[in-house]
Amino acid sequence: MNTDYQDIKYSCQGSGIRGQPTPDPRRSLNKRGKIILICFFLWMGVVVGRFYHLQIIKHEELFQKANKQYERTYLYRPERGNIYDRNHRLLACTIELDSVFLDAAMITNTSHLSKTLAGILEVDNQDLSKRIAGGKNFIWVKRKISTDEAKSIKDAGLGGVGLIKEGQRLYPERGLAAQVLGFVGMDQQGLAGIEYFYDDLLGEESFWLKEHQDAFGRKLYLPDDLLQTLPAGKDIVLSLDRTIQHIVEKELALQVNRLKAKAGVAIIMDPFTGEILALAVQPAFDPSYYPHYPPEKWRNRAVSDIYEPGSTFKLIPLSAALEESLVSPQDRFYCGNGIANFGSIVIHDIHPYDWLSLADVISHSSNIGTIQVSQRLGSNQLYHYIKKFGFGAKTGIELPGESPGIFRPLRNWSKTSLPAITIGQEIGVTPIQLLRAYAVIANGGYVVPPKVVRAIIEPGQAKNTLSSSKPHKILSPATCEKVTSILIQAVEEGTGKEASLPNYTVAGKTGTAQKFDPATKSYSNTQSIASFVGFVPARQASMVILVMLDEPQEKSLGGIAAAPVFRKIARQVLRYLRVPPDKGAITNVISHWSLTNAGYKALN
Amino acid sequence: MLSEATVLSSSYGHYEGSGRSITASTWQRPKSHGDFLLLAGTIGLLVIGWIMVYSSSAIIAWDNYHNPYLFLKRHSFHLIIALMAMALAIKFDYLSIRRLTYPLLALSLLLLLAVLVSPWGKEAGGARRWLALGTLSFQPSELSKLTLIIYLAHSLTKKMGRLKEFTYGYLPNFIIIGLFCALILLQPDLGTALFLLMIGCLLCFIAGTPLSYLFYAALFCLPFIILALFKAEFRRQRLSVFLNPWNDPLNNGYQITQSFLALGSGGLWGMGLGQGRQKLFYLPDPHTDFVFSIIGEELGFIGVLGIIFLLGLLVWRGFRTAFRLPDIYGQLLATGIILSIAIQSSINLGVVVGLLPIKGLPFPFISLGGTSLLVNMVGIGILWNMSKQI
Repeated sequence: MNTDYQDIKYSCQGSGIRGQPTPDPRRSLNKRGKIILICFFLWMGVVVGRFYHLQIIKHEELFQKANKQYERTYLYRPERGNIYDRNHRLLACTIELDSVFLDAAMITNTSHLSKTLAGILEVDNQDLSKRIAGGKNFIWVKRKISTDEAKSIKDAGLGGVGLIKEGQRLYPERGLAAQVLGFVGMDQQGLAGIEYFYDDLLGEESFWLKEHQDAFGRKLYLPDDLLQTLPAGKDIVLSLDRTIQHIVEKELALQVNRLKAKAGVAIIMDPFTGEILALAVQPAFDPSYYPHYPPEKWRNRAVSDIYEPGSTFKLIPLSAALEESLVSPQDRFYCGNGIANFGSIVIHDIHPYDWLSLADVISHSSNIGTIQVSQRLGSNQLYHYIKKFGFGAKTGIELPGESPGIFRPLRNWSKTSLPAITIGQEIGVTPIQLLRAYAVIANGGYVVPPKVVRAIIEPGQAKNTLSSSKPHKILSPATCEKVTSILIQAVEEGTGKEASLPNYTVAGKTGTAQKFDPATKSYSNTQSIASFVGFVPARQASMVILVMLDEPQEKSLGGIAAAPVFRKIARQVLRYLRVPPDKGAITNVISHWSLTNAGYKALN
Repeated sequence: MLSEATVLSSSYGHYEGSGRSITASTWQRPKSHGDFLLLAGTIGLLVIGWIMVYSSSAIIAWDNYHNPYLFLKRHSFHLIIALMAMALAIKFDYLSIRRLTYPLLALSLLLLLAVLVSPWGKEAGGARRWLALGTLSFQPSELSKLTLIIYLAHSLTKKMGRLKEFTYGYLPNFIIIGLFCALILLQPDLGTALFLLMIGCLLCFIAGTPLSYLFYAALFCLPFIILALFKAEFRRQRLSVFLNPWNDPLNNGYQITQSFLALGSGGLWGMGLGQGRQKLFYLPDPHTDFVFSIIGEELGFIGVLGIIFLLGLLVWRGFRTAFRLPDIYGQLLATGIILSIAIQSSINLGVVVGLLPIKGLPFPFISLGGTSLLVNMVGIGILWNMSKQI
């Protein structure tokens, strides 16, 4: 300790700088210390000024500059909406797959690169090399590759090769309801079916989105509020029931194969709501691999194909005449023993009859008898009833490619038009139009708009059920009741026996339409369209079913070819929907009201 | 009590040695508990530092180690050790430090040598600056800052009055300064070497060394500095970038322009704590040398002013303590310690705002860095002890 004080004493006694005596070294020390302290604060002043310059004056400029490196725009592809059946079972969805592209500017060794890629992806080596040399900067190598392939590409670590995620549409039920669902192209654009019809709802337009990135270009999470407001494809709930669809497709396919028919259509509709429960078209295809099938298989024949309906069309003159009270079920008609002249044409019945009641005319499908009914109506009234039933106009179903059918205006009718149209010739209808006509009888007189879409679900929103045009009434319930009785008779005693079920009352009509042969310019005797349209249970219908077979080779009559398909479908679907039987002992126990309720509950 | 305290204070031997009549008002003040404003400034900086180290390092820690708290934990651990060391220094009478001068000098030089030649020397980023013992690492160049101050305070006090004698009062001190600088330049760490030269010169200046001598010293060092600058390509680039950073914002001007972008983004009020974007790997060293850029970005000009205010408070109270100490050794030691903090922060701030060429010096109490924190806290502890004895 002593030395310390010595030093200080010494310093106090000694001389100061440059030999001048300094009275107090502490004062000199403090003076110089203060100079340095002032320097420090001056420097701090300069620093603060600089901070002010950078942070306040140049704030906007530097902030924008920082934003520029922080933000990056990229093409945002909203995920395409799913398609569900009425019970929310998945029918179409989207998965993400990798696509391989090349950035030509980054490629160093073309031959090595193309050889490696060709080995992994099974693409043509020469073709790829040629495309790389082509001068374009962005080159697709292969789109939507498997995860194994993607892993191999990543492991190979090739320069200039990039992977981006792309959506791939997937149909988990494969070919089920393929013609209704449709399919999408490589860029997720809807090309057919619901996918095409509601393309703008299912798929949102891609758009450029601002994304935040770190210095390595890695994407940062978007703020939650932004994510929620991003448009996304909406989900669509169809009115189809996957199980019913499966039943219908299975039975139709069986019959089409058995009878070697060219094509077939089967549709089930709820007569009250117009909702399509199943829509099957043969031949079928798998929408995931649509390019492998010929385009005619993609067509939804139920809405786009026109055919001459034949006897099933007799429903229209029958209903019209009854509604106008021009005939009664007891009226008897002379059927000319199977042959009659109407103007310039000769009409034949398959089986010759002499006198038949109105009910028998329909149930035995007598052409001659029905034409006489039409004659009581006259061309004008027949024309207007056909119009009222909705023929000659699109039904408005949410499917693309719907045809309005062919129905000539009244002024173009010839003398033979009335008899011809009465028996379902000279008129082109679509299956969906004919089905709806039968639904009018089943629901007590209303023309309902057929629907395949039940709801469109927007992300984050409650179910949005579609509003549809109101059904309009064209027939009285009394007329419908009379027509139903005749149609029941047609199934139980007439041509439609094959459609009858043990525990349910079936009302329906067969049809066998000879096809017009363009080669001979006359109706063919060998090529025909066999069909059956009916509803069940007849007086509390839970479904209207149409079965149509195009050119069945084995059995060509509607009652033999199509009616059994109706029976098989109806039996299974009634059981699936737990519709109580209306025939037999238990009918008396359960009221009609509860029957309807049970049927609806099962439907919904 | 008052009179008793007066008696007690006057009984301290070393005050008598000053040989000055001291006004009663100075002496009758009871021995204080220490300068709380000095402590307040320090604690303020430590708290901001603790928060900002986490804010600026979490992303890097997550990306590299999948643990966002890694650097925060490390910093907290350093902080605890440093606080304990400071508590020890507070209890330790500053006059006894003088007896440790030569052992400390020997230890520091030994450690600096050990960094360069021993197997424990750790190399990182092209420089050997650390001694690693297991998981602990130590930066002897940080310790040598304090050692040099302690040595110069002792030596200049001893030679007070004979400082104009070149061989006795001037040369030995500059040989020691030169030795430290040379060993640190070998690491290489030009920034710390220049810093030691600067603090050495300033201490000599305050003690009374003629300015002409310091000018000679500068003249002597100039060729070495120029050589050091132009020997290494990166230093020359740094210098040219300093003159116009926006000419080369992607390579050599990258760090400084990114610092500008951080500060400019902050504006007046800042983007908000934790909301900064430059720490997303745009700005290198956001949790060490450039933590102040992140502060400017997240806390804005207001936050910057706040920290500069705390720093100013600390420096002012430090100098105030130095001015009021009755003995020359204490004055030089206190001035040296507070100067070290003031110079480090001045350089760091100058670099962050682009007024000085890039040089890696941490901001005291805020930047991540264990040895620096430890040494600075010990320094504050010594100052605190001094402030109790005014």
